[in-house]
Amino acid sequence: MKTILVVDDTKELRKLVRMTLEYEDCRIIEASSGKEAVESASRKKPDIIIMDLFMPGEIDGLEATRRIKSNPKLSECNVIILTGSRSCHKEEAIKAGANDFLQKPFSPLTLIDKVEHILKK
Amino acid sequence: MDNLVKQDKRIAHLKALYLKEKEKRMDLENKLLQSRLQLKSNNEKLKTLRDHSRENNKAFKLTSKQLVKYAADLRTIVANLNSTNRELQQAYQDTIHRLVLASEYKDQDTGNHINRMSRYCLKLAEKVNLRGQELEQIRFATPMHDVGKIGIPDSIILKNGRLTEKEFDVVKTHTTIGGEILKNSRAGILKMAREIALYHHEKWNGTGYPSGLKGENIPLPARIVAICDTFDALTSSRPYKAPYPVGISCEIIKKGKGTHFDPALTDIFLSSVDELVYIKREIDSKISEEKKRECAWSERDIIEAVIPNAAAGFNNP
Repeated sequence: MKTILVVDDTKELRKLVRMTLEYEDCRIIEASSGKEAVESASRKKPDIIIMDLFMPGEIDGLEATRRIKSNPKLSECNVIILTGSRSCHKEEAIKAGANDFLQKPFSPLTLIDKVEHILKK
Repeated sequence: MDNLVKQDKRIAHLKALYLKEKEKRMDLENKLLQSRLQLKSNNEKLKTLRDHSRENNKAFKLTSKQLVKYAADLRTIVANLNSTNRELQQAYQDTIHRLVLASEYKDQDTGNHINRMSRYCLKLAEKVNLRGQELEQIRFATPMHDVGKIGIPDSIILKNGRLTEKEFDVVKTHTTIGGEILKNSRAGILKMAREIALYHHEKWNGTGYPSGLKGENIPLPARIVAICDTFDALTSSRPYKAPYPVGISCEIIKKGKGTHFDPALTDIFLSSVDELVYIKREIDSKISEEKKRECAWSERDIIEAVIPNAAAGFNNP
């Protein structure tokens, strides 16, 4: 069974993403901050992380991605960045090691497409 | 001297008053300080609440925007599903139609037979108060009643003269062959089609084939097909016979009431026979029109000469 980690500081958004992806045969876990995400990722080794870019706290989504991607045990992990910002953070996200990028508010169909694409690989 | 004492007393009194006032003032100042502190703390609390509410508001707006996206996608998905469903439904019905065409391919004049049967049975089904999905199933299942003919040898199917008893026994197997072809489906239409193929030659009194089922043990769609199939055979021309007039056909069916046919269904049939005749005229005339249109101009005159006779044959009850 595949594991998907959903990282966002907004509870409602985590719930929406969870319900969107839950029909797939996979386990969904949640984290509400960058710090929690890094800890959870190293423990649960998710296949996919849906990561919000801007979160309060010492570690934002970008830094969390950087840390997760630099962990050799998590090299198989795919990170999809979610951001509410209109300005393009795509390059920065890719530089930090993100595999894909989605702007908020996102289309759930696009999210499903991206996740299915990764799961089929 | 008295004055001095009086003045001292007054001074002492004033001093006491002063001290009292001073105490009061200090007390008030203390209270003021406390109030200020309270105010400051209240202000801080208010600020936290405001920040909190602003954050909540932001999260709410974000989630709302996200929900709008979900609604838009939902609409797209439903529209796509609907159109896919329609397409599948059409493909399904089309495939059924082609299965029927394949099974009837060798028979020359059954094209109209299939159309007429479907419409007759639908009409009768409406009259016995079948509704919605059941009607839809009747419409598409009834044309498959003879698919089993595909397994009967050409020498028998295409034979011009009278069949021997042995040959007729072979013809009877078209019911069980049809049942085999249509068995084990989960689709409602095919389930009904199997019952019809298998039991449309059963008779109300139990003397039919292949199983000798009796009365209401014969599924209703098969009972409907039994009447309509007989009516269509009687009123159509065959290589060995001209079409019987509607009146005589009805008499023959009436004689079968309670023995061959479901008595209640026979009454319903007899009371709606005008509508069936109307359907027959509509279908037969439409097909002869189509045949005419398909021909090249040079051939049209020849066909014109043939068709009116054929049409006269059909339309002359």
